[in-house]
Amino acid sequence: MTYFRTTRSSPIVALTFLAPIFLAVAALLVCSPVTADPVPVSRTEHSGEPRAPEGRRVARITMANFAFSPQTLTVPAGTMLVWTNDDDAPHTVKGVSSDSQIASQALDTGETFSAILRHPGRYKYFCTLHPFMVGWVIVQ
Amino acid sequence: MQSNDSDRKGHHGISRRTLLKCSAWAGAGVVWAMKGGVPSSFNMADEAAAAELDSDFSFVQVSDSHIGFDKAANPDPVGTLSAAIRKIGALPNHPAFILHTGDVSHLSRKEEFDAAQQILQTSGLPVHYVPGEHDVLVDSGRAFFERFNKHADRKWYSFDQGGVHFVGLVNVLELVAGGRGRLGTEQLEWLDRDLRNRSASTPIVVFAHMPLWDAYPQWGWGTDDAARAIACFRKFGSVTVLNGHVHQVLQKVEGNLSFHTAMSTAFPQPAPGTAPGPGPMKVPAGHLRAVLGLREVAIVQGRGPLSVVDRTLA
Repeated sequence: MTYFRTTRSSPIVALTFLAPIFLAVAALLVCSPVTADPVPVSRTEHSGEPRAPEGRRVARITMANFAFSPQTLTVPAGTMLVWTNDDDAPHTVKGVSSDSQIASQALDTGETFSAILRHPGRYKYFCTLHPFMVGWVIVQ
Repeated sequence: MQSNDSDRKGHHGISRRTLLKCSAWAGAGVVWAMKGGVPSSFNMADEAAAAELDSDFSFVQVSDSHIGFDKAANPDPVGTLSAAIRKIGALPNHPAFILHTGDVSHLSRKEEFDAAQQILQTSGLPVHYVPGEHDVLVDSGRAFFERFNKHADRKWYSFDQGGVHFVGLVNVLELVAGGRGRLGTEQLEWLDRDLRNRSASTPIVVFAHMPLWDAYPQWGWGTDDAARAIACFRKFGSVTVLNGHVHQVLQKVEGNLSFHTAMSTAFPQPAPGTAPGPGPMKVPAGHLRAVLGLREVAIVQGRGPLSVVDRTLA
């Protein structure tokens, strides 16, 4: 897994390429026993992101009002996940398993953390500063 | 100006008139006094009760200085911490020391700890620190503990002064997903040993960053394993718990225990449930110092009361 921490902006891949994939994933999720969580909504945004390698899918999670949004995100394996802090308070992103690759430094307002999860699974993470902030990434 | 008893100087060289004028700066104008563990409040306009504040021993709590914070809620936490220290210097009952209940820094950076420590040292008073979660962001708080810790082998501590037993606890390490503050088994076992042979009539003051009661668990304002610590404290006739983290004064009384969170010297946070999250709260610039402050705690020997007075910066 590679990860980045950056605050620079760069162009983003087109949404039309990703939409059918997410629709398929959402359909799978409805039938899946993995989760009773709300139906995940996945979206990309055109603001302050790291440079994604050519063709790499990118999925975004924001930290706002002391919550991860979307709280549960389902993505295909190999997607670059980008967490962005929109709060006036710093946050961190830390996977709960001891060897988790999700492990950011403290992110101040506007800063981002990126990770690519290559293996399917359900990854729970939280903010170590505000541990009531909890989120999940489901990698299909 | 009429002359009356209020102008006569009392035990510590301050007249009741001046005491009342200073006390009018306190946010609510209410003083809680502890007698035998049961608090009673009196309005600062009651001069006879105000005279009770003459005391032999007092100290100050400051909290959540967040040096390094630079957002709209307060671009100058150095300035507001400095104002708090000047206010401490002007207190009529000269305090014996300062307790800092954590979030000394905003991002655990060396220059933030440097600046905070320098400002606090201008008080000329000893300072006892416990960390907040903002102080332990890097390497499990190594920079904080190397600078401020009293012992090589543990992060929590106690000391005695003025007949009072003070206990500094750390509840911001190894937090778990979905949890609140955490004391941990090692610290709880130390606490049990530390308190075990003390007389129940010893006044206890406990200080820790995150609230040791469930002030508002939805925002993480509590400590998961506090119950075991509270059980250790219950035998004592007077236990005063001083916390920070929430950037406002919240209080609770439970038998002989009273819990008080403190104002920040940096920025306020919303009252529980009144905002989507517990983040820095912007107030009109002229109003900021009225919602920041410090706390003076006074102990009167032989008479039992432990008075807790919150004072704003403006």
